[in-house]
Amino acid sequence: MLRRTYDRFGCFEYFEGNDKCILIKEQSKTKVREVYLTSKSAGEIALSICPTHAGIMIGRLGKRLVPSLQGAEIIYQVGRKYPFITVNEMGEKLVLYGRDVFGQSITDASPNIKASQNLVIINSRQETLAIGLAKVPSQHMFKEGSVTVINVLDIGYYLRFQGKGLS
Amino acid sequence: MEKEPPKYIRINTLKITKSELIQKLIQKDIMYEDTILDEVLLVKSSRYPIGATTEYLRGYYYIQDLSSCLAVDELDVLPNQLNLDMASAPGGKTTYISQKMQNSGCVIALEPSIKRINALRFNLSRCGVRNSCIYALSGAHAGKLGLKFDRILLDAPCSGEGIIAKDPTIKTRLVPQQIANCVHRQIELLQCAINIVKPGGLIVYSTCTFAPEENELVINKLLSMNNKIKIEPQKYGEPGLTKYGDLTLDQRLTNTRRFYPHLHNTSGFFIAKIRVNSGE
Repeated sequence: MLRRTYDRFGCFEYFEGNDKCILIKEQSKTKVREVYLTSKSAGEIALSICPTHAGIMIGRLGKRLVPSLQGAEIIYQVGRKYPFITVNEMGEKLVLYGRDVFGQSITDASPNIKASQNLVIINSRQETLAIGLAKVPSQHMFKEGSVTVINVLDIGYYLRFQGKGLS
Repeated sequence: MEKEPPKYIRINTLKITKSELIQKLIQKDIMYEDTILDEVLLVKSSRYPIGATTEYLRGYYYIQDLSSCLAVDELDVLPNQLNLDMASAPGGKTTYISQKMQNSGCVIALEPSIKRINALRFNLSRCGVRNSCIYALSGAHAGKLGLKFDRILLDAPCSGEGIIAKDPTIKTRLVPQQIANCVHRQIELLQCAINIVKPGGLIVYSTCTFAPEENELVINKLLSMNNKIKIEPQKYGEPGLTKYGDLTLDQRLTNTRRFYPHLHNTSGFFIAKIRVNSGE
């Protein structure tokens, strides 16, 4: 399933590289399966002595891979096939404050986004700011005065919450 | 001592090159100066708080004192090593070690507090560190992992006299018993480090305090207990003390280094570079 996801988003070769290792850890209480990207050596050590955390947590595995913020960033940056919206400078500031995205802040979007689809929110320099959830399909994405993308998790979340309530 | 400490940023070359970051800093009107370390810049002025920019949140740089960076620099880290950070949260030195390893090999980060592990995870993820394993373990129990390390960084828990500018309450709340407790813990951690470093491996011991009891006296005690360790010279800083009150200490302590705010424009800091010989 993971390999199909990599292939779909054009990053199969990146994740299958010799210097990298993918680990899946099932949380004993919640049974949630977390996917980690590590160096080869860190992966080997993690397999022999189970750590609290290893490398970068790239997502959670259910019926499909739900990328984390870092996972979505890697998948977007490597393959450029992951759905995205680009926001202007004002939109960037609001996203970093945890706000949702209004249509007028969006300057570009992938052509085939569907409502309720996950996407990455990037700035004009193509830097990932957040993962979002589309409220409307691509053709309505730029509608002024309405929130068209929900900010699910942005890179400023930790500083705002200082680690409280995070898993 | 209470003068506002200088602000340094370390460029995270796992995510961005120095020239690319400098361009971004200039665009944001952040004025900087180079330092003795190529990856570290002294921030002279900025219009925005440097801990709230997109560049910071994206992990392009880490706000870290020059003295902390020097401790990692002295560790002589190379790619593909197996390295240990014995007291790693919030992750500034761990991310720098990983950067010097170019995300290869493995750096083990120990931190007993789950709350502090959250901060550590955030910083490692933010900086794009792939080669780390975090264990919720005290540095004193590092031997339980059953691993031998090429390099070990022990930035030891200390009384913090060197960071009074950041936390002025240290002046009024620090009592001699706390220093004694720190010393006990520091020796315990260093002994543990000596037992788990590979023959020929390197340990860097650092503290952010001026107290000789937690610096030279700890290393002096270690030298008297172990004949297989050597104190290696360092590039920067003032030589460590070899006399303290009535005490005459081991002359090899001149190879340890002290950093002072008024001389080096850093926090007060101490670094000892300890080579553990193979015993042959």
